Amino acid sequence: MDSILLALAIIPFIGFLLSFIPDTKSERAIHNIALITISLFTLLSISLIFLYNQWTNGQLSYQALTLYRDGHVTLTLAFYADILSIVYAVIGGIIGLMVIRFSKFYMHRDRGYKRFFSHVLLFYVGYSIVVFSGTFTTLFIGWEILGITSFLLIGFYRQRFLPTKNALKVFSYFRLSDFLLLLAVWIIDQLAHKEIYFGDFAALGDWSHFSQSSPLLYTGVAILIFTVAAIKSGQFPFSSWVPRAMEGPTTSTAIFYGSLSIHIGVFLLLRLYPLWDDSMIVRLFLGVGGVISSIIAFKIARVQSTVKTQIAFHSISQIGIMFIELSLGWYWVALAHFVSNAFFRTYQLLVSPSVLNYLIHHQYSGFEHPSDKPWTGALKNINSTIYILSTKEWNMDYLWYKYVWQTVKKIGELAHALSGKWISSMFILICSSIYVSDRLAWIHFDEWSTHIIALIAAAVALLWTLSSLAYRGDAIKSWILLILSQISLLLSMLFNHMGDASVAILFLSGIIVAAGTGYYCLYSLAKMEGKLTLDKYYGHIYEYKTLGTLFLLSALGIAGFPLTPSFIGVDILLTHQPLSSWVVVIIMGVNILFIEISALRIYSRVFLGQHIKAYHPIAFRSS
Amino acid sequence: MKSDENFNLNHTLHKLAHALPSQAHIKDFIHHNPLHDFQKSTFFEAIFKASKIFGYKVTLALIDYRSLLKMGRIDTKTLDRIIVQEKGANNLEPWKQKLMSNSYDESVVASIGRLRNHWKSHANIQLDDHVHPILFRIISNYLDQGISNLHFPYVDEGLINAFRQLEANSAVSFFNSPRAKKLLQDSTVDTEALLKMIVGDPNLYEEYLNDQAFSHHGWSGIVATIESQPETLLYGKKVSLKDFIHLELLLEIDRLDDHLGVNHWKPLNQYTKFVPRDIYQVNVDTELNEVFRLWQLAFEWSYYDQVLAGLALSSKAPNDPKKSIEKSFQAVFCIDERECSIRRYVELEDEGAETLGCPGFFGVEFYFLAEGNKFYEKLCPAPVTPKFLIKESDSEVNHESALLYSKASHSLLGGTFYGFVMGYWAAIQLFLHLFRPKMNPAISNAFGHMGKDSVLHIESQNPPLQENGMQVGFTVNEMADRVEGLLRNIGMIDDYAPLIYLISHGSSSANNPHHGAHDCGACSGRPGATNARVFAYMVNHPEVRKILSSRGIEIPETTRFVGAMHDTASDMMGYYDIDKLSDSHKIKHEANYHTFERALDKNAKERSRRFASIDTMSDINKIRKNILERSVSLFEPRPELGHGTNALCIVGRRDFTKALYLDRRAFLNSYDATLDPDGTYLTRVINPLPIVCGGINLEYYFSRMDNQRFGAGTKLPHNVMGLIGVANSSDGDLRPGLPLQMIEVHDPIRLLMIVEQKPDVVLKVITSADSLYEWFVNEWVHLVACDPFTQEVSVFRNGGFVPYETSHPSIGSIEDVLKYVESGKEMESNYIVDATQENLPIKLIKK
Repeated sequence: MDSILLALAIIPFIGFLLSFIPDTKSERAIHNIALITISLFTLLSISLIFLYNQWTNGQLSYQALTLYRDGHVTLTLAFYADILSIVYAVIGGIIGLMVIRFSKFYMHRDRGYKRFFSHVLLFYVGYSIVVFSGTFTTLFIGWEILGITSFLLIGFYRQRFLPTKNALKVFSYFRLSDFLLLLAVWIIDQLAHKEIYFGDFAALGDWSHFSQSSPLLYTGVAILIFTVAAIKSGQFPFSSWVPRAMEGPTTSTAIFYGSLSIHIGVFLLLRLYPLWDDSMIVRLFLGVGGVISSIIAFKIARVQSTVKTQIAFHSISQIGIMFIELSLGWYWVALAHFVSNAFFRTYQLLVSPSVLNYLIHHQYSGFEHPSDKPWTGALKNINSTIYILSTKEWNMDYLWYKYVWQTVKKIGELAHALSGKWISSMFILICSSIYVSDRLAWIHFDEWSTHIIALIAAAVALLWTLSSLAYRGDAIKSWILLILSQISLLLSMLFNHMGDASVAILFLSGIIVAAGTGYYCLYSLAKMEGKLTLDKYYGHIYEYKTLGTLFLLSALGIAGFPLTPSFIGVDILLTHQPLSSWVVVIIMGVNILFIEISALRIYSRVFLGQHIKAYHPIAFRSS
Repeated sequence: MKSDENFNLNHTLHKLAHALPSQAHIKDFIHHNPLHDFQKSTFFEAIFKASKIFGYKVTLALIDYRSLLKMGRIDTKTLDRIIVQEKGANNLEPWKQKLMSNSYDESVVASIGRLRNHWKSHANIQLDDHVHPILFRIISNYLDQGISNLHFPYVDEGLINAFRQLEANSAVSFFNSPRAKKLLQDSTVDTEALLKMIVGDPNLYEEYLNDQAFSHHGWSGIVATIESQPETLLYGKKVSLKDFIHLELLLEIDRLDDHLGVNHWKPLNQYTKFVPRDIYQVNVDTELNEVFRLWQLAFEWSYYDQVLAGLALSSKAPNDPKKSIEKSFQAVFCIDERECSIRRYVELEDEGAETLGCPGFFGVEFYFLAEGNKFYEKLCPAPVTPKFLIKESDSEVNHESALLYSKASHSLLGGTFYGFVMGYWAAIQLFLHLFRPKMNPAISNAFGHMGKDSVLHIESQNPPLQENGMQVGFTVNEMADRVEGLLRNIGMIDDYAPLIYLISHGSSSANNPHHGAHDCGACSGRPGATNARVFAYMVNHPEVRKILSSRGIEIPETTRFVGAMHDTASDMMGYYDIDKLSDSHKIKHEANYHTFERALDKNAKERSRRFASIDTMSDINKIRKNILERSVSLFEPRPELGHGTNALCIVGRRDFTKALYLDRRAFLNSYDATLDPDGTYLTRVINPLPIVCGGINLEYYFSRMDNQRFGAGTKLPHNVMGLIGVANSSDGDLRPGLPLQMIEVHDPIRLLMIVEQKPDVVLKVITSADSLYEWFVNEWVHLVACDPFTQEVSVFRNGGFVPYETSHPSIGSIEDVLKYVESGKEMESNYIVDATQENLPIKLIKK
């Protein structure tokens, strides 16, 4: 029976692979694949309920695969189910079925018909992995897949500028949440000294003893988890990605930002409930964060004059209330709230175009002219202030741009000096020779010196990544900077004794293939179309679909997306680290965060956006 | 600061307002020529200029034309003929070479935006990215009609004043830097002063403002339109293009200050040397444009030629069967090309039935006040301003509310309730709807516009009451004038059947912000049921009949007129005031009802061939059910296909067109030249046709040619903005024009108007008014005259009629229309070369 869990994780993946087979004009076949896949997924999830009496302690688990084992370190792909998983899976399945049925007609004759259903299936791959994950490694794989699916579906209309721009913007938020989650997992591993199975949470006993033994770390983890959930669920101050994510077809907006994706933060909190349950600080965070988010999102919702963003902010506001419920320990209330809110917002978004007819119709009969001077006296100033603040979304987007994004870019621009041919080759050469010499015992470094070298290598890797991210010149150069960064990262790992040759090979095997393929894509494209610079969008996907897809895969590969073995390398890299090397860990984590953004930025600029060749209709930049 | 001699703001604003898209509130979707500003030029000059200035695609790509030739949709003989006609016989081969095989750079690069692009190239700032999101948000909130719960304050004072007050009272600001905030509050700083700061040289202001406005033509367009037609908004907002520009300039200064630093940027003219230019002065005399022009003409005439050949053949066929068969009933439909097929089937089902066509407002122009409504709705063509008001009472239509749409979900507490509980209800509703779509209050219902059995107050009191400058109801004389006018226009002055139906049309659709574009264009984008009822009332009025009789129109006592409406999406028909008929008429109506139902069956079948979700070969009842469901399905972006494929406008007797299968592509206006030797009625008949039919045709033409820039793109991501329009996303520009789903089936060719009248009379009529003549002489609409007495065809070219010989001596014929319809294949994709294959060639219907 446990193998049902494996089936649940695999079925969407098989459906996803199958969805590539039919031609995009074979709408019926594409739809049927999606329908059958999600039906099976839903039915199997429901069947778990009926097998409940065979569960042990209200849970099920299945250990699929040990990805890596070295001494006390293991990385395991494992699945796990409890009531929480099943509620999320069943609700996700039902919503998926409705949206697939809806989209069958709605998407008819869209040139991206097949792409749409493939992406939705990929979403379910990530979704099922997340809700049925049994370890953090597994969870993290699903988490990353969800992020990339969002990127693809927000940018579904990939030949327009705004979807392309907003897809990357939203993705940058998701990457931040990935990074913070990775940090949290690392600290948890340090606390528990072994890989954690979600099924063992209870068995691990009282987590609160950590709050006595290592109060700082314990609180840190809890706050990290809270932040990850807040980002994914669009809570203050991370709300501004939600309206910007509503660029895809209405049906995908409904499934992602109406229902499932936006509630995944709540899932994380529910899943890790035993972990923070006893912490007053976390509860305080949840409560205060929830109150602030629900009030601010509500205020913003009230001034929205577009129907989809209005729904978005109302949904965020409700999730804020779910956070409050959790802070009060009302686990089941929050779960029930999720179900209803997910259904309601899906419905609202799907019928959002009807609002025009409905409201206008009612205005003809019931319109009341708002009073001419609504705000007088003392209220005037308060109302005006709140009105402006809310219209500006409490500056969330602006601050993110100005203080986060611009700072990163500035550092990247400063780091550009490091990216010269000579400097970079010399650096890599010197580091490698030091490492080799050290290994062959020609020279001997003490612990402290290798640590410093590792730190320098990690820092340089980060600077190269940032430099690649800020670079506005040749796309190929930006790509090479990413390769350099990964090599440097590997060197840093090796100096830090984060693993042996086998880890290095694991890591390199993926990176080399991705780096080579990506280079080939850019090189051959540049040969045909001339130099590609990153200060504009080319939209080459219009003519080079295969090359574009190949490059997308390379970009994901080089970033350590769970597509190549490099992913395992990345994971080990962090979870292996002792607490004492927290500086290196943070630097590496930040690097991992930005590498994927930078790689996808190259993809966006070269392949997406308004097509540079205007021999066919091209949408305005502002649309 | 006083305005500069080289620059006159008001003059520039005036020009700009004309050039911007003129689509009003989306509920009043009125088809018009998107290049209305260019209408003083000839068609081709205009489109090529517009292309060069704004970057529009205005023709198909060469490869598409070449494919159309290969598949026979463009006819080789016609192509040769066009080249010879335009270039001379000697140049046939060289030009043919160019058309068939030369390669050209077909890319279009807009010249507009050139000046403002220098912010990016010289100051390294993508200004639009920083200004647009907040600007769109402010204007959307300001104009919002009822989405937001908290309204923009002080809207009665105009955009800038309201904005000033809001800013003055607030502790925070929309601006990020102090200077712009100060400039806003300083009332001595006018728009020119801001331009001085940003642009520097007054010679460049106009170009800068053009660049700016066309970087978001949707929002600028709606602002300009609301300024000139404030009545389009139910919730009135005072707004002007000038204020909007002022606001944008302030935001530009603010963002420049914020990103570059107050002292680190200069007016644009100091970065580099600019030569001021008139953006409208562009050279379009290129060989490529000439090649495009010839191809487009060949594409158009390949179709027109078939039609003219068909008309020549069908009008030669012996006619006048009408004298031999007694008329069972007559039905006057709207000229709308969607009614072309239902008319065919009505005639097929009952040989004694006669159908006619006239603009669907039936010549009665008025504002309508539905019961319980607070606003008037105009029910006549958009350019007309009626002086009459018709009120409704005793309506059974109640404005039902839908629980799931309730504003209660927008309060914190209500929202929590909804978030907690209503989700389950929503899921059940959605689930049911997915398998059994049915009408609900959120769906636009054509029959819900007016109560089925409501009372319309049509006859005025004596003396007539006035309300808001309108007369309530019509006097008997005013009624008689209108009735006589219409009957004479369509040549319906004797030989009346016992029952005469006036069949207006409307369209039901779900989840469709563009539903207004599917309703009756002659009723300002509303269902026309009220007009049909009003006209029927008038012509049934005994006093009116008396006056008509004195004017020579004798309608027998036994003839009754009945108002009705055809829902073009659901293929349902509703009849009004049946209970007022006599028993014998009721019996006749009962029989006719079944005739109409059978005709609707077949009409639904014909339409279904274009719908992927319906199998045309399945049982007729199933098809009817499926067609009905499409009109109420939330998930169906194509409840019907609107005016897609429209191409012809034929003014003449029904016998002139009756024997032709026109595939729902012809606007049909009844007109009898034998009753109108000097063209008096023809002037009245033709007058609205170019604006209504030509407007529809050109809107489709351009939205098809460039669905991204003229059209609204695909509907699927559309987000309703402020209830006045749609945009793609949260911070996108408004998207006027037609969505992709409406134009897929459309072949982009201009309208061919065919008038069954002597050429000299037609010429006299069209030259009677400049605004009318412009349409034809500038080739926005093609015109052909068919002499009803000699059957000779002449085409209007360069100001005169010249004889036309078709290159098709014969066209095929069919015996069974439905068989022919079944043979039509479904498009493989919406790419023009695939899509056009759905359109069936003209055929002669043999009986």
